[in-house]
Formats: sequence, structure tokens, C-alpha cells
Amino acid sequence: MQQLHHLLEVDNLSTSFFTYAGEVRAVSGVSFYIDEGEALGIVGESGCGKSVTVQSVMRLIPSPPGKIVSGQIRFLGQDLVKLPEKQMTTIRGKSMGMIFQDPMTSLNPVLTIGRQMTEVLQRHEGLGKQEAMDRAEKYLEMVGIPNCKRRLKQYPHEFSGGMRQRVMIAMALLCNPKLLIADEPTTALDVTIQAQILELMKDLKQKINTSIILITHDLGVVAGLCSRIIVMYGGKIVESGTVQDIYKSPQHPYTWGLLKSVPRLDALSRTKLVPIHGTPPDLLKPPVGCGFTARCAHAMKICAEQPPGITEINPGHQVACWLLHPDAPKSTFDEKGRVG
Amino acid sequence: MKNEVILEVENLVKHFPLEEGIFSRHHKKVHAVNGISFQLHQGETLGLVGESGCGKSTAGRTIIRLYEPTSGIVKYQGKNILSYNAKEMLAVRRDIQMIFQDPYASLNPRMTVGDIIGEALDIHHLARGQKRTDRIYELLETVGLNPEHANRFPHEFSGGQRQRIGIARSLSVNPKLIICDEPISALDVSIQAQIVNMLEELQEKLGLTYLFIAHDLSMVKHISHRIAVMYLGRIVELTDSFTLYEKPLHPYTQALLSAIPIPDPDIEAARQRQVLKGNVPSPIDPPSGCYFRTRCPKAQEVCALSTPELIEQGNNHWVACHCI
Ligand SMILES: Nc1ncnc2c1ncn2[C@@H]1O[C@H](COP(=O)(O)OP(=O)(O)OP(=O)(O)O)[C@@H](O)[C@H]1O
Ligand SMILES: Nc1ncnc2c1ncn2[C@@H]1O[C@H](COP(=O)(O)OP(=O)(O)O)[C@@H](O)[C@H]1O
Ligand code: SF4
Ligand code: SF4
Ligand SMILES: [Mg+2]
Ligand SMILES: [Mg+2]
Repeated sequence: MQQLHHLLEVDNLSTSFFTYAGEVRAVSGVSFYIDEGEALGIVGESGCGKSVTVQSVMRLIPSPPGKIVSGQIRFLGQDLVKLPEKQMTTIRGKSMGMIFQDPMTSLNPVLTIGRQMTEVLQRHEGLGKQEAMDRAEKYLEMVGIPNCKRRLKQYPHEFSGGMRQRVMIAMALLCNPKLLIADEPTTALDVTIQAQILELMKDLKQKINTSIILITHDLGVVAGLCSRIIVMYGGKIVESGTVQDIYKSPQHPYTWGLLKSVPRLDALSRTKLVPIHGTPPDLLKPPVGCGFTARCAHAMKICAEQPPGITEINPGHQVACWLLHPDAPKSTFDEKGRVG
Repeated sequence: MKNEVILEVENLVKHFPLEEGIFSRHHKKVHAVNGISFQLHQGETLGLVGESGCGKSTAGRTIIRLYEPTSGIVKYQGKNILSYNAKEMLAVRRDIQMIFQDPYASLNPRMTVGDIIGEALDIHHLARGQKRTDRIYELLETVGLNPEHANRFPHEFSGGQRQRIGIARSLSVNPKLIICDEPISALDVSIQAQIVNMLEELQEKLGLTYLFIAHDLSMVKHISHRIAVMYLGRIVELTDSFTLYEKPLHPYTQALLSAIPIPDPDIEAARQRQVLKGNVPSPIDPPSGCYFRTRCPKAQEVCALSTPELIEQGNNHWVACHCI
């Protein structure tokens, strides 16, 4: 069965943390893919399983207590779930790059930036010292760090937050990975610096054709960079589709909620925000039916009893909600008014 | 809306001395707030926005003398409160309340919610016994919590609920003005709207005045009648929220607006983003003249030589820039 393969294909992934209080079902039954040269956004509020999903892909789940309970992660023809740690280390170094919210956690504070960058290149690409230095300098320049030669001799604390994030991006890209995973790369940054980083990522995507997974809780951040979006809630994917699907004709009540609870800068008048009532579910005791039931204005009897299946509205636009069942009452998202 | 002025800040300055070596000659200091002036009208919300470290919190705290100002005047109901003694300040502190970004750090973990709310009632001798209990229950209901929550401890609540507790505490003394320092920044987006709507309803019901500090300009625009944009401890532009968005005059405001992503792929694709270079300079050694000149695309020679004053460009639109 040789088909054209996706670069990464995650199939029915479930990851749990086995804590003394019980099993935290951080991610349950998540499936998605990303193609070469594509940018995919994963959005959702804190605790909905975004980070655990990509940490599973990179096999960076702290274990114990964490464990990939089931599922497949196909990347470049291999199932990463079954791969020995040694091969995984190579994949992480060469084929996947990752950027975190807080760059300080992934930079070594006692080594110069140059040393950290060249070590990666010497280990994974077998470059000599001078070659490695040259490549490091080239990448720092590419991410817009001035005076690269001098900067290579400096330590992480001598960089500002935005510059550290640039350094992280440069490091993640050093070995020309196929896939760049950015977990809330701009959440800790000011908006003018966020704009710099987002422009940089857009630019790089065009220049070097890396695939990007961008995680964020801010629907604005992914609108300009990504072509497809996944919306997560309570450890599951509740809706996925193209940016047009998600922003112009969203179908899941949680997606409606996300879009309506934040004010838009370009709003022409002051309309009341529509909050989502209540709080996200406790993944230690995940609800039996749809995870959104307790907060959903459209919930029906069946929602609390059985998890909704996935409905494909048009090719690539998938929604997990009982409202799409032919017998359900009709509810719609109206761009100007309220959820009705 | 032109109600009476409730608070007036004139040329407020707050510098923090830096710890320094014993042989250093120059006394370095952090220029956190560098001469800001504005008025707050009864019943309005004035938003104070700017990037991290630009002095928003320091301004808020200095206004109610949690920090002693370096210089300037703060008039509450027409009187300069900077000359007040401790007893006089107590009355001001009852009228002007503050709510904070981190609802957890600002609630005593060892006190029950009831006692946290009741504490302010005790300090100001407002209610005792059954009346105190009734008032606590009433306040909990006002902020959307249950009376039975009174006996629980802060750690048993979510972030949004803790922020509600903080708001109930500040409402307990019937304040007139509330300084909200990033009250929703630590909350999830879906919870932010709950708190913002509640603040709006309370304002309507109780006639409250807000100084709303935040870095999220979309949210500030939503909640505020007027907005003051800060950069390195100075106000660079001050006008009503729609004018600020429609007709920003200061180059920094323009860049700030341009940097904010809009959740609409078509708009984002069509947008010509103006990206500022570099970082905010250190408040220890701010540039001469206009503080924004190191990043300003319109900077001229004059910008390094003299500090632009905040000048009215008509219709209550104030801007501090040499080149408009
Ligand atoms: N107690 C203090 N001692 C010394 N410096 C201080 C103190 N408080 C604040 N500063 C400095 O004053 C400047 C302004 O800080 P402030 O906390 O007012 O900024 P802010 O605008 O509220 O930022 P944020 O958005 O990050 O909350 C910063 O450079 C900060 O480091
Ligand atoms: N090391 C861990 N131990 C126990 N639970 C964890 C751990 N890491 C994450 N979780 C839980 O997994 C769920 C999903 O977390 P995460 O993926 O980090 O959320 P997000 O990135 O979407 O904010 C949460 O309920 C979180 O508490
Ligand atoms: S399945 Fe039911 S509860 Fe869940 S989002 Fe759809 S309508 Fe709401
Ligand atoms: S005064 Fe000069 S440097 Fe400052 S904002 Fe205006 S043009 Fe720019
Ligand atoms: Mg996360
Ligand atoms: Mg602050």
C-alpha cells in the first residue's frame, strides 16, 4: 500500500500521565497530518493538550509519569512510537526542530551561544569546527541578529527575550529540519517583538520550505501564518480545517466561543463579549460524553452520554459535535450577532 | 461624556535607585515613570497600555502611594493626596482600590474567602457580626460566586474564580475608583470575557471609575473610553479608543496597532505589517530627547535634541511627537 505520504501523520494518539491521584488523560485519540512545506496551527486554551501532543511527537514526554498509551506517529516512513531512544535522538537533532515558549529552559546558561550552536552541527552534521562556526553565523544572520560574530561569543542571559527566541529559531533550523515545531513561541513576548518573530517565521517558511507546527492560544497569531488549523479541547480535536473553514464557517460551539470571547482590534463598535461559561474539564475525570457539554449552550441529552463522532463537512473540514447529526436541531454561528 | 474629574495626575515621576558598587560615582536609577499627566473622569474607563516594563504598574502603584513618587502631583477629588498623612490616606485607600494580575499571589492562602473579603470591612470598621456575614454573601453573589464559597480557601478555586474573589474584596469598601493592573492577563481567553463583562456590569451598576492597565490593546480598546499609550515611562498618545484605532498619530501607536494580529485570514493576508526594529531601550539609560527615537521610522535630528511634549492636536487628542 504505497501512497503519497504525509510528512507527519499522527493516528489515534493517546497520552496519559499516571499520577498518584490517577490517570490524567492529557491527549485522547488525536489524529492529524502535516505535509511538506505546510504550516499547521494548533489552538486551544491552556491545559487542552497542545504541548503534550507535540511532545509526544518528539517523544519528549517525561516518563514516568507520562506514557504514550496508544496510537501511531508516522514520520519519514517510521513509526516514532516504536523507535528506540537512540534513533529518536538523531531524528530530534536532524529532522525535527523545536522552539519553546521560554527559550531559557532550552538554552544552556553556562555555554556561549556559539558553542551551543556548533556542538549541534558537529554532532549531527559532522562539520568541522570552523565550518560549524560559519554555518552558525549564517543562521544567526538569517534570523536577524546583528553583529553575529560578537554575539556568538555571548551567553544566553546577554540576549533580550526576543533575541533569545531568534537564537532558538536559528538553532532549531541549523540542520535544516523537515519539521519545525513551535510551542507558543511568542506568548512570553511583547506584541512588537511577537510581530518580528512571526514575520521571521513567515519569511523562513518561504525561504527554506520547512513544515511548521505552530501552537498558540491566540487565534490571531495563526491567522496570518498557517493554512490549516486544529482546535483542541479537553485533550481532543474538536474541529479542524483550513483557515477559511475555521474563521469563516466554524461549526463547533467551542470554536464559536473562542472567536466570540475575544474582542477584535478592528471592531467598529463596542459589542458585548460572549464569554464561555464555566471552566475546562478536569482531565483526571474526563466527561463521558462530549467534553464541552457542561459549558455548551447547545448541549442536548445525548451530549452528556456519548462522545460525538467526527463529521466531515467538506473535504478536510472535520467537526466532532452532535449538532451535525441529521436529527439535531439547527444552530449556527452568525459572524455579527451571537451564537444562535 | 464629560463628568467631573475624580483623579488628576500631573507630571508624576517615579525613579527607583539602583543598587550599586561602593566606588561608583554616578547614581544610576531606573526611570520607571517619567512625568505622566492625565485626568480621570467620574464613571469612565481610562486604559493604560504599553509593552512590558514601560511603567504601567509603577504608575498605578505610585498613584495610590504604594510607592512614594519622586515628584509630581496626584489630586483625588481636587486635593493633592501626596501631602496626606497616614490617617488621611486611609480614607483615600478606601475610595481607590487596586486589583492585580496574579489573583493567587494577592490572596492570603491561609485565610478563608470570607475572611479575605471581610478583612477590608474590619480595617475600615464597616460591618460586624451578622451584618458583616450578610455583606460578604452579598459581595460573593455580586461577583458570581456562591455564599457557601465563603468557607473555602483560595487554592480551591480556579484562576478566574480567584480574580472574582479579588474583585469582591475590593468592592467590599464601596470604592469609587478601581485601578485594575492586568486583571485578566493570567486567565484563559474564555475566562477573560467573563471577568471583563463583569467589570463592565459593575461599572454600570455602581458608577465605578476604572484605570485599566494592560498590554493587550484589543482588550483595552474594548473596555476603555479613552486610552493612554505609554512608552518608557512616558505617555506618547492619549485619546478616545476609537480615534486611537482609526487615526493614531504617534509612530509608536501606529506600530503597536500594526503588530496586533487579527483573527481573520483575509485581513491578515492583505495587511502590510510595519515591524519595529530592535527592542525597548533600558530605562536605566534612556535615549536623549524622544525616548522612541531609537526605533522610530520617522526620527529626525530634532528628536535626539529635545523631548516632545504631550500636545493637544484638537478634540482631546494628545500626542507627544515632533513630527506630526
Ligand atoms: N521596586 C522596583 N525597584 C526597581 N525597579 C523597579 C521596581 N518596580 C519596577 N521597576 C522597574 O521599573 C520599570 C517599569 O516597571 P513596571 O512594573 O511599572 O512595568 P509594567 O509596564 O507594569 O510592565 P509589565 O507589563 O511587564 O507588567 C521596569 O524597568 C522595572 O524593572
Ligand atoms: N508532567 C505532567 N504530569 C501530569 N500531568 C501533566 C503533565 N504535563 C501535562 N499534564 C496535563 O496534561 C494536560 C494537557 O497539558 P498540556 O499539553 O501542557 O496543555 P496545553 O499545552 O494545551 O496548555 C493538562 O491537564 C496537564 O495538567
Ligand atoms: S456535542 Fe453537544 S455539548 Fe458538545 S459541542 Fe456539540 S452540542 Fe455542545
Ligand atoms: S519625536 Fe521623533 S523620534 Fe519621537 S516619535 Fe516623533 S518622529 Fe519619532
Ligand atoms: Mg502548552
Ligand atoms: Mg505590570
